[in-house]
Formats: sequence, structure tokens, C-alpha cells
Amino acid sequence: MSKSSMFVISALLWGASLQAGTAIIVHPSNSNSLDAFQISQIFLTKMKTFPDGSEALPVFLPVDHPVFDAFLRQVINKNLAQFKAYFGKLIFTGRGTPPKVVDSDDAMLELIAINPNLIGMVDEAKVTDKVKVVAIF
Amino acid sequence: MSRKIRMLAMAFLWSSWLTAGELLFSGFASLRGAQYLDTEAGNPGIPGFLEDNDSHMSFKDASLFALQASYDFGKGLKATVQFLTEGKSDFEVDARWVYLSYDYKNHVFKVGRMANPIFYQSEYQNVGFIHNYAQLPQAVYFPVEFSMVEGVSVDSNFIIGEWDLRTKFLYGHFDGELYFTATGANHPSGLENLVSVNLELSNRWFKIYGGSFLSRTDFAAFDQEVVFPLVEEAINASNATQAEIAAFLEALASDNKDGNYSFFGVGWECSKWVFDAEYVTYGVKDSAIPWGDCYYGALGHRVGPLVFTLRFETFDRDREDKQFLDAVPDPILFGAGAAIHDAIGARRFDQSTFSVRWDFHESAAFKFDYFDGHDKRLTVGDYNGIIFGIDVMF
Repeated sequence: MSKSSMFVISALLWGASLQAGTAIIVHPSNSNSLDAFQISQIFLTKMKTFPDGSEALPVFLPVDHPVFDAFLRQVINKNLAQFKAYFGKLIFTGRGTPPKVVDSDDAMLELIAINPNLIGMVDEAKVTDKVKVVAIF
Repeated sequence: MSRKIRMLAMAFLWSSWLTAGELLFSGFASLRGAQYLDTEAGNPGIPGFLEDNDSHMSFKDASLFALQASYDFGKGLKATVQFLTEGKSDFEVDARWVYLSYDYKNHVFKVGRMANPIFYQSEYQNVGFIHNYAQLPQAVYFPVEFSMVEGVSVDSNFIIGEWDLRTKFLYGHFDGELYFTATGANHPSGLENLVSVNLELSNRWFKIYGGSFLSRTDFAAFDQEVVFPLVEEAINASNATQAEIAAFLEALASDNKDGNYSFFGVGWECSKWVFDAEYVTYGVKDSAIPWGDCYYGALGHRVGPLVFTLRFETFDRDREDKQFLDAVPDPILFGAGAAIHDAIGARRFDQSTFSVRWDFHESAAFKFDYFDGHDKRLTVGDYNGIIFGIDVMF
């Protein structure tokens, strides 16, 4: 392979990794299908169960994680200040608490793989067969 | 810190040693400077704000700090306490919320001392980070002590198609001191059998909301300290019988009557534009306190981390309605009653505010408000000023 064609392939792969989507993941045994609205309602803790009635517990990545940033813009349709203000209302009126946060994609994958009630987000490129993808944004 | 608050805090921390739950801390603070730049007659215009105005910048009046601790026992049971300290009360610590809550499916049940949702943002009106202004519109959100009540409540959330319906029911009572905008002072007061219902329907861009509370007033101190002394002269000058005088005093009294606060509003946030409007009406039925009719409307534009907002607000009193004096035939007493009604309702103002919010940090926002208003009282007239500072939430 010539040097120039290797460069083109590398550039394409790099571009693909940059454009990798945000995968919304659940435990493989979770048979629910979710649309974008339901996913946003679960992560905003407005919807507390999956469509089959089982408890839905959302898990976030840290606010400075690129996947979280994309998730906020594409799924929640809020910027970070609006998002924090939303959960501030819940905390300081006693109506709720923000979802738990895990440190990394790997920690998210491990957690989702062991608990059928959890729903999380991860870089699409890092999805493994230990979790099930319900949507990609 | 008072003994009562120390005991509450100790009891709360002690409980965390006995069970294997989770203790969560959160809080908010607003550190602000505020100043009237010009007051036509030398008196402040906004209720409860810089009342001791001496034209100097105050870094105390609009500043506050709050710490909230919630102990999660698991399975939906939590105990929460919120301590608030405000500059205007010389940073004395106050245990504002103290309640137990229980989450069951899409409902949250609470018992204890909690927020009274008088108007739409009343439950979180001290959390500056949540809204886009340095100060919420004081025509609606002027300080009232019964923003906290003791009682029980249930908050619920229902998903209907692509809409979210939020409801709140509360029953409780308030016993303490109330700030009366008419006198600019606190008077010992109470609200009994307070029943409150709030609804909010929203989707991604739009929300519509409303609510109301009814209660039986305990405003005897206000009647005895403010209203009745003002009519003594008129009673002595009139030829009214004892029965007519008794009927007159009953017509004026605001004690043991029905108090009602209601609100209605809409909000819209689409693309870069933000719109909010809220109308509130409140009063004590068949009393000398004129019915309040207040509202605000605000249009904002988001530019990156900045939000620019123009807001207009009105604080008005219905001084035309003198029906409460229908059973007072004596012209001297009627005149005195009407004068008191007018005097209590004298404070009326319109205000325009330009606000800038800058989200310079994920947990902090800088705010700046320039306000310009007109109070209809001759002792106030035109006024303007600034409020600026930083709101944080953690």
C-alpha cells in the first residue's frame, strides 16, 4: 500500500472515530424498545420505569466527557447550564435527585452489563457484546 | 447557630451512623452587589429590597448561602434539611426545609417543613443559578415568610404522549411573621388549613402552568396594630351605633377570613429564544386589603454562554372595589374604610429590567440587572438601580 493511500485510509478512520455516535445501552436481557422522547424522559428522571414496567435507573458519564456533551445536545436538547438548572430544581424542591455518574466508558459498560434496570450512554465505537444498544444518536 | 438548629443538625448526622445509607450534600449561593442609582423622592421602590437604602452599594442585602443535606435510607426514603443564611437577616442561619420524603413510582410524598408553592418559582426562588436574572421579578416574587409551611405534600409526574404533566398537592399551616408590602414591616401572622394545588403541562419547548392555595387567615396582629388604630378617630366622630361599629370593624378585618393566592403562566424556549410570563392574583376576601394583580413578561435571547433578557413587571392593587364596605351605611366610617383600603393599596409600581447572564463556569453564572421603575406613591416616584453578582450551585 502506498504512503498516500495509507494516509487517506488513516484520515478516513480518524474521521469515522470522531463522528462515532452516542450509543444508549441497556442490559442484554432488557427487551424494551425506546424512542428518543422516552430516552430523554428516562434520563431527566421524569419517566421512572421502562415500557414493560420495570424500574429504569439512568447512569451518566462525567459532564466533561465528549459523549455526555453530545448526548446533552442531541437527546436532551439543553446546554450544560440548562441541564444543571433542571436538576437543581429537582434537588432543591425535593422532587428528585440527579442520576449516578461513572468515570469512564469502561466503567459504564461494566455496570450496565450486570444490572438489568440500568440505562447508560457510551461511545458507539466502544460498545461490546455484554450490553445491548437501544439507540444511537 | 441557634440551639434548635444545632440539635437538628446533630440528630441528622447521628442518624447516618446508625444505618448504611448515603448522605448527599448540595447547596447554592448568591454573592451580589446592589444599589439604587437614583430615587426621585429618596425612598426605595422595590418591596423588601434595600429598604434601608442610603444610596450606597450593598454587598449584603441580596446575598445568601444555603447548604442542603439529604440522607438516603434506601428504598425511596430520605430525610432532608436545608440551612439558609441571608445577608438581609444579618447572615443568621435558618433551618428552612426539614422533611422526610418517600418516593413511590412517579410520586414523592413529603412530611415536615417544606416550600409553599405560592407562585410558579416560589419553591426555588432563592436558587439564583436556576433563573436568568440577578433578581427574580419582585412584583411577583417579593419576600413572604409563608414561602415555608409545615404540612404534607405529594408531587407527581405523568407522561401523556409527548407531554409531561406535573402536579403538586399540599396541606399545611404557617405560623410566624408576615411581611406586609403595605406597611413594609413584619407582623405576627398565621395561615391555617392551607390547601394548595399546582399543575404544569410541558413538552420540550413549551410549558403552561397554574396553581392556587386557599387558607384561613390569622392576621389579628395586623388588624390590631395597623388597621384598627387608624379608624379610632373616625369611630369617635361618627354617630354610628355599637352594632354598626362592630360591622365596620368586621368589614375592615383581615383576620379569620379566606386568603387566596393564584398564579397562571406560560413559558417557551425554542432555538435561541426564551419567553416567560406569569400573572398572579391574591388577597384576603371581604377585608380592607385590596386584591393584588401582578405580572411579569420576559423575552430573552441566548448567544453562546450569554443570555440577554428584557423584562417588564407590574405590581398593582385593585383599589376600585369597595364592596367590603357594603354593610357600612355611616358616611364617616365608609370614608375612613375607603381611605384605609386606598392607603394599604398605595404601593403600585411598574418596572423594566435588562438582564445579562454569563455562564462562565459549569456551576457558576455571572448576572447583571439594570432596573428602571416608577412607583405611583408620591413618596417614591421614579427609581433605577443595578444588581450584579455570581450565583453558584453545587
